[in-house]
Amino acid sequence: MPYTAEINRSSPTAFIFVIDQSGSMADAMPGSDPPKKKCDAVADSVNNLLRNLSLRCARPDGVRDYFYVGVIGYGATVGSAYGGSLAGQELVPLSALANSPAKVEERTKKIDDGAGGLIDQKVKFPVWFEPKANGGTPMCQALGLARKWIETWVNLHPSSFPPTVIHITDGESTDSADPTEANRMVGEMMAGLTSITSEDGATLLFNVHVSSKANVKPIAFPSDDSNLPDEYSKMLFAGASPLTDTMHRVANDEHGLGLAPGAKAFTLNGDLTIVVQALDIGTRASNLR
Amino acid sequence: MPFLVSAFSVPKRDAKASENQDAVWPRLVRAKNDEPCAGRAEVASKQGRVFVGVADGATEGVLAGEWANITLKSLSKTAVDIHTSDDVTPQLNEAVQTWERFKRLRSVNGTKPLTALPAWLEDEAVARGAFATACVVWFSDNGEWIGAAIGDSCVFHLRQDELIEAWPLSNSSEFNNSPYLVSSEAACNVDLAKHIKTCRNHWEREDHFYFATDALACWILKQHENQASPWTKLASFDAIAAPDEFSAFVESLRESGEIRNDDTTLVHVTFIPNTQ
Repeated sequence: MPYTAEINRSSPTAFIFVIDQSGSMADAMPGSDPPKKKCDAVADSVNNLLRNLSLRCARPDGVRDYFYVGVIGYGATVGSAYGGSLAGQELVPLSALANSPAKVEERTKKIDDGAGGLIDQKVKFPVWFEPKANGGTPMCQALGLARKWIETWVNLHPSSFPPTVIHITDGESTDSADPTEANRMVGEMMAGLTSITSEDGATLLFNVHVSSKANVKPIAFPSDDSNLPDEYSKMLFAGASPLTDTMHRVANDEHGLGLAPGAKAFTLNGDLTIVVQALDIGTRASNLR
Repeated sequence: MPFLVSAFSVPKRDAKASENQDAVWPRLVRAKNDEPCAGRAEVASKQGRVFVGVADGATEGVLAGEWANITLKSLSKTAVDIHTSDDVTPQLNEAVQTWERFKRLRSVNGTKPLTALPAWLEDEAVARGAFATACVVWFSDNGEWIGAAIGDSCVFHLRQDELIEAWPLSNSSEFNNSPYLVSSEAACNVDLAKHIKTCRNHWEREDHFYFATDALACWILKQHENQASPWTKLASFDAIAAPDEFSAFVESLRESGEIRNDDTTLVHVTFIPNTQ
C-alpha cells in the first residue's frame, strides 16, 4: 500500500517548499486582517510550517531528523531561499534547520484566557525565510530545480516515504509569452514532479494558490474544480496530487473538514497546518493544543 | 497476598533504551544503556492491595517518558477506593503538580535548560506539555480488582487460558494515532474526567493478567479475533532467565509487519501459590 512507509531517523522524508517571489507578490492579500502583502503572508505561513515541523520532532535530546527540508524561491532569481547561515543550502536536516533560524522575532498571538476571552501572549517566532517580491514568475524553472533535488533524494532514499512539494504561487507563469503555452508547460512540469516515485509512492505535490481576487472564498482540498475562480486555479488543481488516505482521514476525523472522496492537495488562500499534522510520526494526543 | 509481576519493555527500532517512553509500575524496567529492559519481583500488598500499571508517553511532546513515570507514581499513591473517574482525577492533578516540581528540579529553578533543544523551541515545546496513556489496576486482597485507564494501553484478564476481560479496549479496530491522553498541562486536561474509564471485577488465584501498551495490545486483540491464542507465548517470557527473548519476539513481529514499530511493553501478573 502506498504512503505507509514509516518516517523515522533511519528512513526520513523530504519536504520542499517552492515559493513564488515575483513582483505581484507585493500586492495586498485579500481578506487579511490586519492588511498584509501576499509575500509577507506566505513567508509567515512557511516559517510557521517549519516551526511546526520542528515542534513535532522536538525531543529532550534535540530535534529528530525525520525530515530534510528545502526552500526554493523564484522571482528575479531561482534558487535556495534560506536566509542566515543556511543561505544557499538545498535539503537541510530538520535539526540543523531548528538550530539555525536567520533570526528569532518576538510576536504576539491571541490565546484563550480560559474565561471565554482572548489575551495577548508573546511568542518566539523563528524566521528562516524572508519575504521577497521582485521580477517575473519562472515557475517551470523552479519546478525543474525541485525535480532535480527530488531525483537526488529518491535515489539516496529509495524506500522512504516519498518527498512532499509545497508549491505556493499567486498565478501566472512567465515561462512563455503565450499564457496557454505557459500553462501547458507548467502542467507538464508538475506531471514530471509527481512521476518521481519512491518504493512507497509518488512524490506529493501540494499547490497553494494565493489569489489576489477580491471576494475569493478560501477553498481547502476540493475534489473537483467547479468552484475555482480562474484558469490558473484550475491548472494548479489539475496538477496537485490526490490526498493520501492518512491525510484524508486526519482532515476529516481531527479537523472536521468533511472532505469528499478524491480530495486533492490544493488550497485557495487556505491554511496548510494540516499538511504537517497529517504526517504520521507516532502518537499525537487529541487534546494537544 | 503476594503477586508475581514480570515486566518487559522494548524501545522502537530506531531508538535507544533511554529513549523508550513507556513506563511500568512497580518500576521493574529501567532504561540503562542498551541492555534488555526486563525485570521481575514479588510484590506484597500494602493496606490490603497491590498496584500495577503501564503508561505510554506520547511520541509528540518532550519528556513524555518522565511524564509517564510521574503519572504512574501519582496513581500508585491513590488512597481512596476507586468507584468513578472523579476518584482518579485528584491523583492526576497531583501528577501535574509533581511535574512542575520535576521541571524546577531538572532546570535548577529555571537556571538551566530542561532539554538540549534550541532556546526558541524549548519554551514552546515544554509549554505544549507531555502526554501519556495510563492503564492501572488495584488488586485487593478480598479478590476484587479495580481498573482505571485513559488512552489505549490495555489489560487482559485470563482465567484457565480464556480471555474474560480485555479492557479498556476490546477490539483491534479501536486503536488510532490520536487518543485523548493525560497531559502535564492542566489546560489540556479540561475534559479529562470524561475520558477516564474505570471498571471493577474479581480475580481468582489461578488467573493471569497481561498489561500491554498499544502496539502489543492491538496485536493481542487481533490474535484473539483470529482465534490464534497469544497467551502461551506471552506466558513463556522469563525476565530473569531470558531477558532478551521478549525483545527478539517483538522484533520478529515488527519484521513481519504484525505490529507497529513503537515502544512496546508487557507486564504479566500472577498470584503466588501456596501462600495465605
